[in-house]
Amino acid sequence: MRYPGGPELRGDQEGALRRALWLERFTLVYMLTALVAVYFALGDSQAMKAAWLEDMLSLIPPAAFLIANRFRYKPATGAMGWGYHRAISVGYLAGSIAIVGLGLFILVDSGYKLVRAEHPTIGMVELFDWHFWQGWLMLAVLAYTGIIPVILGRMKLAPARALHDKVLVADAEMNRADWLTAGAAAIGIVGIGFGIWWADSVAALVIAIEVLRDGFRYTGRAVLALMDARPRTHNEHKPHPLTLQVEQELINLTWVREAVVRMRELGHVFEVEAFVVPATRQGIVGHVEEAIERVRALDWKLHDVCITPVGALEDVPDDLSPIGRGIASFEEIRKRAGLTDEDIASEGAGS
Amino acid sequence: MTPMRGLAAAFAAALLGVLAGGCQYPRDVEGTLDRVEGGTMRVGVSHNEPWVTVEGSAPGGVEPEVIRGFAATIDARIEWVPGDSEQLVEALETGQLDVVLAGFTRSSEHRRKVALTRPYVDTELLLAHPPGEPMPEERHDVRIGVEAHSQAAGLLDHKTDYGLLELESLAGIDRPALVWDYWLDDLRLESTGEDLIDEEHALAVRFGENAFLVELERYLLEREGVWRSLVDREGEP
Repeated sequence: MRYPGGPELRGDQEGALRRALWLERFTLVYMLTALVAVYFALGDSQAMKAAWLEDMLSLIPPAAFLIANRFRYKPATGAMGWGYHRAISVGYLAGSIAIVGLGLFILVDSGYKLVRAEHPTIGMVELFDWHFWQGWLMLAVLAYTGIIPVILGRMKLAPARALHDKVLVADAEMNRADWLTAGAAAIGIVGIGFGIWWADSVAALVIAIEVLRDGFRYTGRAVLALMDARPRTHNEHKPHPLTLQVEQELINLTWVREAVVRMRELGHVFEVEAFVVPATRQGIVGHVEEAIERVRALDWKLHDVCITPVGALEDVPDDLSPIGRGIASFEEIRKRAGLTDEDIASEGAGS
Repeated sequence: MTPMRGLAAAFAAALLGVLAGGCQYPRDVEGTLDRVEGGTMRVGVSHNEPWVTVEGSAPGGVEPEVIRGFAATIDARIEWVPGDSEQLVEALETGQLDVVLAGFTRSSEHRRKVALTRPYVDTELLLAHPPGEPMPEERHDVRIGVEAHSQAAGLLDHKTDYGLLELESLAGIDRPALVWDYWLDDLRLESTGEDLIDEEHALAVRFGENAFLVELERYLLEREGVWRSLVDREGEP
């Protein structure tokens, strides 16, 4: 339920959504083939094991996206008054904690082998009557798992931005980082070939650190999203331009004397809650209705807008809504947040 | 972009080194292959018929035969070190030996301490019957001949419904029996096609000696058929 109702995605976003769905399905299938390929080339290498676990983790974001997509657009019910948008945040949190756990596992496992000075052993492999060193097979498999995800990651960025979908962004980033994992594992294998026994475990440690970094970053983001943090741009780098624009839109109304706005992300859409001090109480219902329409017209992401007229504002945090309270200008806040014209054009109102 | 380039450069340099140098690749951590080539290979042997028989000065059986052939290809002299397999494995782990022969299979518990080669031969424990005397349908009524106090007797007892007929020796048997596939010829029995276990036989080498391992495995792979007939010849009930 929300006032007023209407469709969630703009017509032209359906294309982006279809493209995202296609890309994520393809990623899932591709990752499964990569998992099988790496599994059969695994051998005795720590780095290959780490790369395999990392590939396994790459299944989480596409799976979360595809599963959440089945019910995130479901309308609200009596029991779920805000709808199901946050399903994806829950999946995101569970997935990112799993990533931290696996990072720790690789770290401990490889660190232990390094301390015990275990010498990795790679022998011959037989493939269709052809005999060669298994290290070459490992390198071939790593090339397969290192190159294609980078391309997939790049292809996912455009739909991720269009849909403001953070799981897609996380997935794209993870894919783009795959070359690092594959590269580190490859150096480990080549090192084994040169008789440098520690190269393999060190490569696995590098992968573990990369996995842990991802894990902590995603866990932090997921926790913040569930704690109703202010919306940020799709890549989390800056405050979202709409948080500024909504304040500006409200304070621009002649009947509004002061406006305080708080926003949170419900999955890929925002919920806006505003308290406004009106200059006059006359025709207040019509004014509020018009204000809601204006805010919703700013952008499709402003999904659920709620405006409450109040007599006076109390206990407002100092850094909340400086524009709406007339403390600072839009321009000042924009500069302080580091938002460029380009950011505003690509993610702000009407993008 | 910079770390990516650095990584790619290091990688390219490493591969170039391998290709241009034409040197040994993969290499050993401790240089085993370089040492035994034209030198002495220290081979631990532990009695385990028919794989290794330690009697007299020169060990016999399948595996010493295999390693003699390998030593000849790399011009190595063999120093035989007889002993108990447990101790030999420890000696191999700490670099006192280069190979241990003890009839190991790929599922050996020792694989935590030493590297096992690819299997050079697979053997099966089979249910067999004399030609022209097919196995009866009702399993409970049949007593199957099996070597007393053997792994085979235990498997037959636990994994099948057949009755056991424990014998000191299977030589000259004229009834259904549980036998290794390399005994079929000697006993003039026919396989029923039903096997209880499948064992992959391997030799033990030191962890991380990849040049030596690859050299040995290449030798094993190239003569797979030879090992099968060697096992058929050496294996006797």
